[in-house]
Amino acid sequence: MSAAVGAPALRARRRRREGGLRAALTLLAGSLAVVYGGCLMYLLLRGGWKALAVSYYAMPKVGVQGEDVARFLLAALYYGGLASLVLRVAVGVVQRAAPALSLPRHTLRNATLGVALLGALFARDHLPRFLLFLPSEVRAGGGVGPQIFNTLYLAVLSTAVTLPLGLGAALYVARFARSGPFVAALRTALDTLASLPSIVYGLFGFLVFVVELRAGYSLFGGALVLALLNLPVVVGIAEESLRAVPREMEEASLALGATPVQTAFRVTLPYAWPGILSALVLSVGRVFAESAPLIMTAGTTISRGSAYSFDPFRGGETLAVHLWYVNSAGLSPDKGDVSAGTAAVLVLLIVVTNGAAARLARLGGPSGPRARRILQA
Amino acid sequence: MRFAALIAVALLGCDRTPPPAPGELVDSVTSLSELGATRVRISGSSAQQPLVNAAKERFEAAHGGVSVEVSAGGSRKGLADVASGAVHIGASDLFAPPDLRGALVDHRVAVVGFAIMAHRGPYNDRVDALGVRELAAIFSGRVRDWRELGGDPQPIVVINRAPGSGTRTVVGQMLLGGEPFVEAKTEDNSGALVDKLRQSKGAISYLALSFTTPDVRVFPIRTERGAVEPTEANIVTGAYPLWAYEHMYTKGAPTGAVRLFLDYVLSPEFQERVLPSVRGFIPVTAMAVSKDED
Amino acid sequence: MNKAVAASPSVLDAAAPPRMRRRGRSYEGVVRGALAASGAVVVVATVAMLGYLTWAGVRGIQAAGLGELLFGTRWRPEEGLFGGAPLLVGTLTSALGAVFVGAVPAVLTAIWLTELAPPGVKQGYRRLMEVASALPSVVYGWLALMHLVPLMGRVAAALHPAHERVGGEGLATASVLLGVMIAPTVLLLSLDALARVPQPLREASLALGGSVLDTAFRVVLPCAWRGVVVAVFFGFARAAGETMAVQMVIGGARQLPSTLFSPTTTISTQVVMDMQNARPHTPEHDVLFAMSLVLLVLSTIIVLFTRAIARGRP
Repeated sequence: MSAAVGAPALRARRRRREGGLRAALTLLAGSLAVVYGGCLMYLLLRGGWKALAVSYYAMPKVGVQGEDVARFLLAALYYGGLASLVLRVAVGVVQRAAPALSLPRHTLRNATLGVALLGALFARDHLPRFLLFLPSEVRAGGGVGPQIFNTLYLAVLSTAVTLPLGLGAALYVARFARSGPFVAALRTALDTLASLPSIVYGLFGFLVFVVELRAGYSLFGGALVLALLNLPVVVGIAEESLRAVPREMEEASLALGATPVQTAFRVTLPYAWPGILSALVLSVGRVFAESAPLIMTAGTTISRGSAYSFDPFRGGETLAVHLWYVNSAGLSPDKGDVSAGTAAVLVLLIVVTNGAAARLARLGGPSGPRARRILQA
Repeated sequence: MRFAALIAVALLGCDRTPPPAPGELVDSVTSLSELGATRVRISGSSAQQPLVNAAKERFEAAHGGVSVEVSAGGSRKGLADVASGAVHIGASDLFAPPDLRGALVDHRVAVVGFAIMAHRGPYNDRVDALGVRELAAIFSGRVRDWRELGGDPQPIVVINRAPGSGTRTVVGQMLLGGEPFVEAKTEDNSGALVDKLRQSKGAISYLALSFTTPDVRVFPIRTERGAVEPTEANIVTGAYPLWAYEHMYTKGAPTGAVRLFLDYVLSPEFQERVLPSVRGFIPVTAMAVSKDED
Repeated sequence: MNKAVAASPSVLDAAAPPRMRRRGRSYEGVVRGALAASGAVVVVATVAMLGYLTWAGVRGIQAAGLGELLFGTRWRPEEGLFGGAPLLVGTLTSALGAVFVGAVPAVLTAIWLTELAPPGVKQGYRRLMEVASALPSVVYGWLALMHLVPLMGRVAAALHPAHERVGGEGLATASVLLGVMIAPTVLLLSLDALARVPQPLREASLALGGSVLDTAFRVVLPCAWRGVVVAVFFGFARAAGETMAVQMVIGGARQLPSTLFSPTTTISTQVVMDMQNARPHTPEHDVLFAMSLVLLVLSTIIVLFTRAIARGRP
């Protein structure tokens, strides 16, 4: 007990000040949550309708080469995604209502795949028109079908480059590196790549592909540039996953007669695979989100002749670039709606990607906080 | 989770707007061009974009194997790109500069007029028209308030186009006589610029006539003949001074798919039926006056 | 039998029994070579990229002069004036503003989450921030264009009624946008930094009679200050390098900002806008690379600084 006379009053004042500060901090945190949650909700609600509502009438074909395949794939993704969401809840409800009822093992997965296949076969013309139609420069009613295709294709192309390069470099550094200087150079190179502003990648890609090689805008150039962009993250997380593999397993393999290379590929890599996969999925998320490097390497155009083409040396606009283009250079009268729809599709793609990455990361390898430390370091 | 699933179910079968009629979609592919899959690359003027896109949509529909890739960037970029070989056609509102003129072949595909557009506010209702000298003073920053032009006190907010824009260069040469523009906020995208003119009090800028809309004020220009409205009739006779040719420059004579495209754009079918339907453009043949320099 | 081979630093080689090392050498060698090659490709690509950009940038510096690029006030490439001060000032001030608007609230919220929040809130909040940090910058830019710019226009008109060069697009809008963009990342990094503070430290402080807030600001934060400072600097670097979203809302006026709401420009914005018109191998083209080089140097300084701070981590 304090002997000072004013102690209770002092404590009361301190409590009030503390309470005020607490309230202020709570308010701050709350407003931040409202801002970001509000942004997400606004994006989904404003654009979600247009982008996601199944159409009652069948949409006619636009008459572009490759459109059938594209519609099929898109329908499979769309109905599969819808089914997985609804079925999961349904299964949960059923299990809670009748706990004694035991469903076969892979009910959920098979049901989802079944719905996806059925939808792709019979209902692919009933997809929302926004996802099916070509964009329009000057008229209302444009869609983002080719942009979705380009975004996903670019993600595949870019991962095809990032995977061998990143995994190779990570494996080398984690398990096979001999010389100090080379590893140091590699680490410095990765640190440098991580600190470059994204526009520098765009400039370099523009210089090399468009100016020097006269190759014009190409998805290939965009994929290479994005692969460079993603390397620091992928190598960092992959290296951490590989290092986390218990030494005993590798030693056991080596003791049984496997060579170091065999051990690396048959023991180390499979063990670290979930973490590596989560790194790749994160890099895919980054590909979805980048616009500046792509504007200068893959361009901002969609042509009827190559809208759904698998040729990687043609230019193509992705969703993020389309969002920028519609607001900066586009002349369509409904650009507010188109922007909202594009943003909604982007947000959904990213949410799904993030969710997949999180689930994969939890499966094995490094746990969440360590992965993020590598990500942002 | 359950919330998301509910929304997902609610979205099923909810878009009951009927699909577009077959005529609204561009025609389906009728024939494959004998050239196979080729690309025609065009870049440059943003004022010319509506015209190029109208041509592109119809050309691609008629020639299934050819892709026309259009990007903007401004007239100067178009000229730079075609000179360096990065694109096949450079779309420009400007004549090619002297050092490039030898290598580039000029195809004049249309005439476009430029308008002085401003925010429609009560403060400039009394201003009927703006003379060339007044416009020069506005865009060079010497006059800073609508009050000095006969309206109510309201600061003039100049919005510039990008330095590479053909519109800016044409307006700069015809109104300012080479005097530099005031440094003000830049908006190169015509659509966004119209939005800004609609929203910002006191705003004034210059755009191609294709972008006029009733809720933004379009100022007639006061010349010796009085206040001249930017109409097609006035441009054709030369009464309205702000106009320019829409050039499609090629490096040397065009060949192959590029030649097919240019032939289509210069064909009577396009010039007489499609071009007049794209707002703001006039066929070159309709002009009563002409010019050889900017 | 055990040939004591000189200590090989390769992890797997060290663990393998000596006799086994000789098996399948050709296949081994090829694969090892391929792995080393991928590392080499990374290094070569980085060097090539930096080298090319530096070479083009140096050409630009020679064309315009370093003093002019850093301190000249008029950027008019069409007239041969290459004063880069408006670009530099725009970049630095908008990034600084972003730190105030975004990074500081993010750190405070991270403290709230770690010390004061009810138990279940942290995980949900974290997931929200992870999604928010993964959103494309153009999405934030578009949202700002639709809603923030008109709002700021009204604020600017209220504060500077007679000034004709202020409006919705300007320094303040860009700062707010950048702040909103960097806050989730700064928050997540700060959460990690605060999580590394050992729990016994908090308990000791509370046991000594400190309140929760006292503990937070006088014990936990000083302990985690390195990680938090790294997070804030990371946000600053990201804000300085952001291109497309800023280009949509900053106004593109090539002038030094006279008020908070003046339109101005940043290095990356101007480079993207001018790159369209510049013909390769001309001074206008090369100075853009010179300005990018300046941005690069700035980012590198920040990164080196943060690494120096981070290295002192306990």
